[in-house]
Amino acid sequence: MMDFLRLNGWEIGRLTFEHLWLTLSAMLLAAAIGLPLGILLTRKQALAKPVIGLANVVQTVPSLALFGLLLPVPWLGENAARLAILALTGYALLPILRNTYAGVGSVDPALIDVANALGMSSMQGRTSIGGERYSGRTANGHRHLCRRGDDCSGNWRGRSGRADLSWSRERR
Amino acid sequence: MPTVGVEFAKVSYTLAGGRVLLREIPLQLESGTTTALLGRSGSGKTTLLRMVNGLVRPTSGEVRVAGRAVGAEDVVALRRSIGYVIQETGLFPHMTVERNAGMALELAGRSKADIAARVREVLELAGLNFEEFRGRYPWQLSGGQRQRVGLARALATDPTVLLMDEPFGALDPLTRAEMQTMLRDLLERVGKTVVLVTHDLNEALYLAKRVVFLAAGEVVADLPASEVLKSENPHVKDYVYAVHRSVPA
Repeated sequence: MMDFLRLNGWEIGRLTFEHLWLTLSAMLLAAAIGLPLGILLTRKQALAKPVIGLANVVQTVPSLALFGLLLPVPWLGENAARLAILALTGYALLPILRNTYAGVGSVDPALIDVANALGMSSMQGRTSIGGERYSGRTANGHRHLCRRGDDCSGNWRGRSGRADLSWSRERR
Repeated sequence: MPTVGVEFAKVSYTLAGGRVLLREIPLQLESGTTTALLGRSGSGKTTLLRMVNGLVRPTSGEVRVAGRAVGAEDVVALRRSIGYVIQETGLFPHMTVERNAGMALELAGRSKADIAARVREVLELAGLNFEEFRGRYPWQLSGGQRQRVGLARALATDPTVLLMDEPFGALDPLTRAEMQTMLRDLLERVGKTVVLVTHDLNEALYLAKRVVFLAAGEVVADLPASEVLKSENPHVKDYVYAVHRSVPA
């Protein structure tokens, strides 16, 4: 074990950092899209079903199949990190979007009323009160992304994360 | 001559489908006094109340607070000058008592020291010990204590008008009586223009100087609290009878 770590320690550190960097980038991107979109959907109810439905569809596509679909796309397919980040973002979007929508949308109307009466805007009220709920629910999205992140960086990139380490070991 | 705190000038409210909730309500509520709005569910009491702080806009007519039209005012500034208490208290579940009670001050950009001092003052006014309750969450309070925090929050900005929508409707009779006594004492000290929506005739008579009866969106009786029990108005008599009928043997 110690011999393995001495031989591969630097490599493990580098790959761990790469894995975390990919996952964190995708998580931030998914949150940047999912949070405002989820809040917007609480205001535009008619859009909620098709938008969440689309995110659901992305979620059901297997990672290898999505990789195959995105690989020929110009600029995107040229860089494995870009591909992984985009795929992970797609996978993280549904839980973040759905839970933000559910959390913010399920705020008791009486609380919104009081928030308005205190001088908050309707959106301020929803986000402030819904904050408690959606922070917990959105954390599910982030956990989900971390699980998928491992899957993706290994399966998709082939030469990244744990897969890369296995490959290096075989090479030796 | 008494000044007018809140005025409804021929206020009507019609829903999009054409159903009329309020029909040309003419009311002038004296400044510094408590007026109770009584009536069946669906008679338009809450809608009328919510027009005072602009949560509902009349479809015709005008609501004035201290002589200024609600529609012409900056609605946020107006709402911050009006206290609002509802049945379920409307306390934010993820905030402590101190933060809940000081929310209006926080939104107004007051300093933390200012907020803490004022919250201490209003919590004590509502009968809660600041040090004991400041760090508690709404779920750690009894119904009566939650209602006291709701009241403290409504008073935090020292509003001229206080709107109360069935404030004690969810409480047991004993806590309710206790809260009514506390509120009556408190209102005598702070001297606000209070609009109280209630189903409870006894509560209205205990707290209000004047009682307005609504039915199907119209004012059907408007009289001093002291005259309600002897009124010959059929709407008032029905209400009094319903409340004071004897228990069958």
